[in-house]
Amino acid sequence: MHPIRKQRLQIVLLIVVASSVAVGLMAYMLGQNANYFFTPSQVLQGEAPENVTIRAGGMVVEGSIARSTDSLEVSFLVTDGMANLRVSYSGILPDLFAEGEAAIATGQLDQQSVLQATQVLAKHDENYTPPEVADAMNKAYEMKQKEKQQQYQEGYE
Amino acid sequence: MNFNLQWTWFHRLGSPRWFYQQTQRWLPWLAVATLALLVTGLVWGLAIAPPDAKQGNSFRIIYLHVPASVVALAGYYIMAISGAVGLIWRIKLSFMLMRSAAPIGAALTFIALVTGAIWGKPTWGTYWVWDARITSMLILLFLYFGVIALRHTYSNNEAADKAGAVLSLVGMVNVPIIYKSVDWWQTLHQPATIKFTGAPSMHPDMFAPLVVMIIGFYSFYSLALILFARAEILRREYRASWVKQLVSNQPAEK
Amino acid sequence: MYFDSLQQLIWMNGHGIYVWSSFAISAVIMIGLVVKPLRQKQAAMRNIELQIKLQASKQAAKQKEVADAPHS
Repeated sequence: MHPIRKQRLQIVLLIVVASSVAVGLMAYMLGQNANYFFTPSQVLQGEAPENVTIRAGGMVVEGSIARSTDSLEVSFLVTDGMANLRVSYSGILPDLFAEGEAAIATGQLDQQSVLQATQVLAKHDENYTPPEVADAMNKAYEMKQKEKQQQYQEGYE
Repeated sequence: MNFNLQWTWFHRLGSPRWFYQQTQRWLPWLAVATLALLVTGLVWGLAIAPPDAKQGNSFRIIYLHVPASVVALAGYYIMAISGAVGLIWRIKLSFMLMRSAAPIGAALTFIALVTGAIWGKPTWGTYWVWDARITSMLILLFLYFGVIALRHTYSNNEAADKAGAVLSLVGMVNVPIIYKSVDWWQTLHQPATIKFTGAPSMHPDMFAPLVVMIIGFYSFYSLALILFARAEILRREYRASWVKQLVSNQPAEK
Repeated sequence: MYFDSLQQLIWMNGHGIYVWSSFAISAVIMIGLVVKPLRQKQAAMRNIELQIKLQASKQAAKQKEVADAPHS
C-alpha cells in the first residue's frame, strides 16, 4: 500500500476506534442511569423489575432509620414525596447519609418490595454554607415556624 | 482599507519566531503571578475559609477539583480552535499550540478525576460511580490521550498535525455534554455551583478563594502552554537560522 | 485561620487524608507540567548545538580536503 494511504487508513481506524469506545461508554452510562433508575413511586407501582439490579433514590424519611444493635444491618425509607420505599442494607454508610438527605441505593427488589441494597450512596446538593451560617439559617427557620404556629393558635383563641 | 494590511497582525502572530521572542519577556511575570495566585488561593481555601456545614473539611477539595475541571474543559476548546486555525490557515504555530495543549489538558482532566474520586469517598461513599458527568469527563481524558498518541503514530509532522486537529474537532462535541450532563441525566454528581447566570450557590467567604484558584489555574495553564510551545518551536524549527543563532549565542552551560 | 493549631489543619477532623492527598497529587502533576517542557527545551537545544558542531566539523574537513588536494 502507498505509505500516504496507509497513513490515512491509520487515521480513519483510530477515529473509528476512539469514537466507538466513546459511544460504548456513553451507552453503558445511559444504561446504568436512565433505564435502571427508579423513583420510589415507580417501584411501588410495579414498574421496576424484580431480581434485576436497579437504582432507586430519594430523600431519607425522618425517623425511619432502624439500625441493628449487633450487626451493620440497617433499614430505612426513601421517599419522592408520593411513596415510601424500604431499603435494607448491610455495610458502612457514607458520612453524609442522614435523615432528610438524599440517598441512592443500588440493589435488587425482593418479593416484599424491599430493596436489598448492595451499595448506598449519599447525594449532596451544589450549595455550600459555613456551619455558623447554616445554624443561623436553621434557627431563623425554626423561629419562623414557631411564630407561624403561635399566630395559628392565637387565631383560634 | 487594504486587505493585506489587516491580516499582517494575524500572520505575525503566527510566526514562531515572534512568539518565542515575545513570550521570553512575559514568562517571568506570568510565573510570579501564577505562583502568587495559587499560593494565596490554597492558603485561603485550605486554612482560612470555613468548612461546609454538611461535608465538613472534605469540601476543601473543591479548591482543586473545580479549577482543574473548568480549565481542562476550556483547554479543550483552546486545543480544538488552534487545530481548526491550523487546518484553515496552515499556520504552523497554531498546530504547535494544539500539540502543546494536549498534555496540559490531559493532566488537568486527570487531576479533576482523581480529586473528584478522593472527594467522592467521604461524601458519597464511593470513589467511583459510572454517572454521566464522570463518564463524560473520562471520555475527555481519552480524547486528550488520542491527540497525544497521534503525534507518535506519524513520522510526518504535517500529517500528524492534521489528524490531531480533526480528532480535536470531532471530540469537541463532548464538551457541552460534560457541562449539561448534570441537568440531562440522573447523576450522583450535583449540579454546577457556579452558574452562567445568577449568583453562585456558595457562601461568599467560600467563593472568594475559589475565584482566586480558578484565575490561578488559568494563569498556570497559559504558563504551561507557553513553556510547551517554546520547546515545540525549538524542536520543529531547528533548521531556521534564528534558532541556530539563538543556540550558538547561548552561554555554555556547565 | 479557621483551625486552632497546625495539627488540626493537618488532621481536618479526619478529612485531612482526603484533602492533603488531593493536594499532593495535584502539586506533583502541576510541577511536572512545568519541568517537562523545560527539559524538552533543553534537549532540543542540545540537539541543535550538536548539529551546528557536526556541520562545522564537516565543513572544516571539506576545506582541509580542498587545501590538501593539490599537494598530494
